[in-house]
Amino acid sequence: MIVGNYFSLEPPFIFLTLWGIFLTCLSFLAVPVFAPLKKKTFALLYLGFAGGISLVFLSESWLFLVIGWEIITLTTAFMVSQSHRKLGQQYFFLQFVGECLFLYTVILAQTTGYQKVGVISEVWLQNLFIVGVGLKSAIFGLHFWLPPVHSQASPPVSAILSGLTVKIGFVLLWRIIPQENAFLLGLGLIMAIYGGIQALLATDYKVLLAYSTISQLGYIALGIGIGSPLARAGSILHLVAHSLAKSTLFIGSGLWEKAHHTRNIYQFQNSWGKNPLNALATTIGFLSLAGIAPFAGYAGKHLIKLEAEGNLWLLILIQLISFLSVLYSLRFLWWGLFKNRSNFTLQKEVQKSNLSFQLLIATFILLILGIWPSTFSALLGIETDGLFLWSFQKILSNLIPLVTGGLLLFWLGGLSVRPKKAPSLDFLFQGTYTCCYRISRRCFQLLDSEKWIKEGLGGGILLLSQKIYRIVFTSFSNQLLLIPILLFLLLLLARIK
Amino acid sequence: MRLSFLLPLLIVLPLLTAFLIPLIDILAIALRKILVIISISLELVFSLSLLFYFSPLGKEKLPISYYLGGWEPPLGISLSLNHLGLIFSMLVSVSLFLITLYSLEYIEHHEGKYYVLLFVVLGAMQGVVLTNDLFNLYVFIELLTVASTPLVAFDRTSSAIEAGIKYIVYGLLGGLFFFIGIVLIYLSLGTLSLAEIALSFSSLPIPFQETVLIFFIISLTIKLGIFPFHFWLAKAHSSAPAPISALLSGVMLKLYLCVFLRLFWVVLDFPLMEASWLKSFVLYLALGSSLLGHLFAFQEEDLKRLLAFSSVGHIGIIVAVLLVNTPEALYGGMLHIINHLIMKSALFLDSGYFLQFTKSHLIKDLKGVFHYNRYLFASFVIVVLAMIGIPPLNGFFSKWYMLLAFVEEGIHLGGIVVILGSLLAIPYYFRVISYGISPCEEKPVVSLSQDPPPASLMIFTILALVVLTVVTGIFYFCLNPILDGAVQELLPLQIYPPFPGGS
Repeated sequence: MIVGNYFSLEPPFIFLTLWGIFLTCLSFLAVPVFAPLKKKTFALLYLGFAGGISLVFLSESWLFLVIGWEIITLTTAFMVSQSHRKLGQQYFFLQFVGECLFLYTVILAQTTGYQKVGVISEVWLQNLFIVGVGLKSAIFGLHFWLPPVHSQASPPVSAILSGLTVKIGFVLLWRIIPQENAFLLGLGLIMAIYGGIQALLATDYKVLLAYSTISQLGYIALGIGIGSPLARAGSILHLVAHSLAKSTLFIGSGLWEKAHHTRNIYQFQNSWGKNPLNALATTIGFLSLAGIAPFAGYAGKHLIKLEAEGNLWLLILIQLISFLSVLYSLRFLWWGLFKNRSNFTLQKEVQKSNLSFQLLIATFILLILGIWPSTFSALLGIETDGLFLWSFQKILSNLIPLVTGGLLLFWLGGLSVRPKKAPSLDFLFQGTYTCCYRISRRCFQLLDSEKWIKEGLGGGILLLSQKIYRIVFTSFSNQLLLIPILLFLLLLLARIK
Repeated sequence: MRLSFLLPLLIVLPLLTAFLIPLIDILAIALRKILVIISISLELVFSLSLLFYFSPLGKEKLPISYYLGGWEPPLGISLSLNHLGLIFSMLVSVSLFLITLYSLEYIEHHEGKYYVLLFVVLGAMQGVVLTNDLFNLYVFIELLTVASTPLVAFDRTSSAIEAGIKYIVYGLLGGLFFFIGIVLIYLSLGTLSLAEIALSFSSLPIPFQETVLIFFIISLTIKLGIFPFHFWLAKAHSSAPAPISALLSGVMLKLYLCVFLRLFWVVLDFPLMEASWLKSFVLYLALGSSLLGHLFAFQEEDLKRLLAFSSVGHIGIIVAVLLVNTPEALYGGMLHIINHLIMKSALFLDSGYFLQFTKSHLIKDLKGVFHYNRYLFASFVIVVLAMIGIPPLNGFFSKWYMLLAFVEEGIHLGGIVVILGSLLAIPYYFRVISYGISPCEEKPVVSLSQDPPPASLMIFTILALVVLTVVTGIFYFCLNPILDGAVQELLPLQIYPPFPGGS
């Protein structure tokens, strides 16, 4: 009964929930490698996270949605603070600010008459939701926290942060927005381009992954913003594919950091020799991000491109975005995996600590999802008859960006840029805190009502009594004068009576 | 009606205990603790049996009355209990029970005097909740003020005595305005029974009614520590011993809120207040006070003053949301009354435990102090999370309903203050936590012993409050029957649908 009232058991949500739990488990497998001492704590936190994910995806009541999301925030914040306490606090605070924005939007929706999580027809409310979800899901303009947090958290945590946590908002927007939404479309375009360019210029591997998350989230937002059924289907397919690819890549990034002792992609040496399985998983993950067939990311991007064919400018932009993601994928693959492969010898001791089982599963599923995209979309309840058939044109459309991207990179010399400083939130927090502290100090001094009362009321009484004292008691003559005055008054009063 | 004899007993039992304690001290001091425990447990049992019988699941229906000496209202004085009274009577009994248990280990000097005063306060509190007579209400409020003043100044330091003097001056000033209001009512209506005033108050001329309202509003603004009169609260609540801080900040402020609810909704004419500028004035004043309370807490260096300013913030928002006067608003307000009582008592008692080990109450002296007891540290964190409003802890649900109430009525300022309050709360509580857990090599403590003293009862009390925080969070809808009863008493004709979210 409660399940019927407060939870929706439709195919996409059940699939998404199971998918979320699967990814959580997959990421948890990496915990013993990266945080062997805190397995129990992490187990508890991952359990809470999985619960939160199910609550968020399945809930039809706003209250449960908010609760689930807040549980996710809390558990992920604790996970982040296991390795970086300060970062965890910053992450928690920012997520809480996002929570407040979201809460207010939800309350507005509820008072407008939407008692259940579902389609919202008012555009202003949709746009409010985009802003409300914005901070938690790193929509452009409120995305500033994502690169520092995702790049500094420990790999299994980054995997679920980037794979699942930021996606929640997009699943919600997907549920809420039924038709086209120009605001989201525009934001998606900006996000994808901005994230792509930043990823192209990144030198730190995890920062690159974080910006690539922003760019792929932009792709998802784009699909929701176009709003036709196929584009919506494409965006949810891309969401699922990207979550797996990105969590695999983030876990792989941890292994690379262990193997190379650096995250600078220019210093990766002999990756295939050090961990061939991880190299394979990374390659497939990046190809999937780039939307190359037959890997998982291809299906969603393909559907969105199909939908955009009516609008030339949109199509050009989307092709450009795809090209950007191909470009940054190829750039990393060149620098990280293929350039310095000189002494191709397997190194046993590094290989021991890898996660072969987990990486194998992920790679396998990325392939399966790419080869049979229609089964994959059927699981989500989407009809895609004949849309994924192979044709000469399609193979060409796959090859062209790959070849041009490769040539362009070759011409640019692999786009080598100077390493940048790691992104950090410290400055922002310091500034805001100092500012708030000053305001509050100032208010405290200005609005000290005790002083007002002391000086105003107390001082007034003192002044008055001093005045009276001076008038009446200062000189002896005045005192003597009081006698005739009193006498006169009394006589006068008696006369009047 | 069989149980109505419990009503005077709830008041008389603590007062009687207060008189017995000095006598028993003459016999044997060891007996005192036993008497205290028996008496406070009996009080709790009485209260629980009332809850058991009169909850909507129980056998009998509220309200019930008891006529002292068998004299009916126009002549005699009556006590009565309705849903609102039941909630507050329960809150007082339970929290005083826990606070007394905590005090048994916390208070180390002048214990006899301490318990006498504590029981007088308890009796006065129950009196405030139960009495049905305006003058008795006034007497109990004054008794409360007078008896709690020595408790505020219990530490006998100069700052404590200053705080005590300020506390009594402002308490009596508030009482004075209350008294003027009573005099005005008595002169015009010739009665002091709350029920009779409720019947005939609206027949008075409107300017006169407004005058009476203004006197009561000023009185309660002072008592509740709303903005221009907030400073005594921070002083008094911070310099009292920990259990007394919990009592003042957790319970006594809520009691004045009970008076506030009873006076303005049940006795005096709320529609009049709603029609005039008074309601919006008090509402926005309370909102401003709430924001300022949180802002002041932000810059505070002293842990207990920080908690006291946070109380100012929460009381302000409760007053504001109650004045919105829709079913959701009253429900959310009362839920927050209960939740804030639990959370703030837990925080004060918890910080009281840790402040035993530091040389001052300053936050920077807390360094590393949370390592003394990990369970209490965890409970501090949990309660702070509840304070901020993280589900599924109790603070979240009252935040949700308060937001709903404000937004539904279009008072967006209220919603923003609720949000800003919880946002500002994060940094100031986190500062405490990060100082508390920061590792430090040299022992920060100037305590006599390096090991923490045995404090099983103290720990039990705090953990009980934390369990309450979690339980009233997850099962908050279990409070619905009583809260709905109270809301219906305040808003006749409107029936509030109980629901756990959604519709």
